[in-house]
Amino acid sequence: MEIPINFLVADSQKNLPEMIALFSIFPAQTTLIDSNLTPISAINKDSLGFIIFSCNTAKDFESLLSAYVRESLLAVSIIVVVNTVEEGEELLDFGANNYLVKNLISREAILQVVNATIRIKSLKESLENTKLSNKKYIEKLTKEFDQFTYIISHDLRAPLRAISSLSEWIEEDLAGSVNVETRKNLVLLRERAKFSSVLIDGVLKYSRVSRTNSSIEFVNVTDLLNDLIYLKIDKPVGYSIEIEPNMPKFYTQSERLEQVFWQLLKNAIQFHDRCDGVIKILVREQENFYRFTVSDNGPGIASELHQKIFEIFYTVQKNVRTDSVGIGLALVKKIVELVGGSVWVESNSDGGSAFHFLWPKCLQNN
Amino acid sequence: MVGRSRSILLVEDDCIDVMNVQRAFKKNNINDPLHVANDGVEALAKLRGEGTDKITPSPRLIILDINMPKMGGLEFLEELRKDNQLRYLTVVILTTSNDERDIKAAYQYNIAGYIVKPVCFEEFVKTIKVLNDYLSLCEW
Repeated sequence: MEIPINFLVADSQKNLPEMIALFSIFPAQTTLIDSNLTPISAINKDSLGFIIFSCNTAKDFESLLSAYVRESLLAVSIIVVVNTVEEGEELLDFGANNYLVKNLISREAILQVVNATIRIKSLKESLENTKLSNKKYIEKLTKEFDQFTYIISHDLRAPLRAISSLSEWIEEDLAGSVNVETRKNLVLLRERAKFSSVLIDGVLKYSRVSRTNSSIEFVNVTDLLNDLIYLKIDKPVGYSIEIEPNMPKFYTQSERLEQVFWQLLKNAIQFHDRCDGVIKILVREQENFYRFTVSDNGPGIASELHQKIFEIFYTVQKNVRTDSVGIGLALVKKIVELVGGSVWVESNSDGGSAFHFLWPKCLQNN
Repeated sequence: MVGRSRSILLVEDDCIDVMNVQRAFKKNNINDPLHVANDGVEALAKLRGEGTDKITPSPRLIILDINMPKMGGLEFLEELRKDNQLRYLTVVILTTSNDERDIKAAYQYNIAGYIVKPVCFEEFVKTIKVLNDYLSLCEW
């Protein structure tokens, strides 16, 4: 059979005669060197396809690999000659493309291994090509998506603002002559416009969350929660938020973690039905995750809705409340799943709800 | 307004948004002349007096939208900051875009502020009041 590429066979002096015999099947294409005397850098690398490297220790292989990288021979396949199958398998993990076992070496074995290596290589190449074209496709889609969300945020918002302003001006200009019914309708008109605007903001937030990188920082969860409660959440008078004292301090995507807590706390307050709300934030440490819980003594959620509430646009109360468009929990779910965790809700024995989420202890930077 | 006479240039393509600013000025008793340009090209022409009357003296403030036909807000800023006569003018962005890239890009042009247009007119009136108060504090 025709082998289109050249071989470099590197072995110790005493094994070379044997290798010469074996590789006499491709006499014109084979260069043999004494691996102890001749460095790889010294050989002619033109149209070199294979390095057949006799390898007794992992260290031998490492020195070959460093020469291989240094000489930019990355297109060359490395076939190692080893004593056992186990050794060969181990070196595959280190970067060898294939192996030959010394005692089993024969012309047939060489042909088989060389052919298999060529096939694997061409498969790998086509896989790389597919990956590359997929990557380009994803880049194109991402760009389109960015443009799309930009247009939504700008062009859909502008008419809403116009509707809202115009209705206010109509009301103002009519001043005394506008009757109660008309005034009510104008207010409704503005509420709907506001609702649409909140909806657009929510959709944008939802679609942007996976696109924006959240950097990994050192987070003291107790501090993060206190900042949220005192600075970013409107806690009604009479409400208490209790933070369990054993909150972790760890490296994680703090912005995303904060967003999850913010949304859960906001919901616990917004959908509460009493003026003496008690919200508890708890944590349990697991092997790979922290399980955080935001628990309330509010009206609770019927168990048949426990899945549904995480769907986008789902709201339990179907009236137009400008601050409830069905994005919050969908966003929580999306963020938590992005970092590799999960979120679910359970009913408390006292009737309230407990939102649990698993947050990985260790996050890789994208 | 005490001191030198001042005028304001609004660069905005949406006529209702122009009305928005005019009404909010009125509500706040701001009586400075308000010039309007519908895009960046027209704004530059008015500032330079090319093919149209020049705004003299140069406006105390340019209120600038980002998304406009012909020449958008960011391109306009680029031109403005290159122009030796005009580069010192105070610009505040007033736009619907809360896109982080727009915000970052705009601040590179030494703007005095980036304001996202509120949906509700009442809030907008307050926004304009704050902007006016801020300008009154600043030397120029």
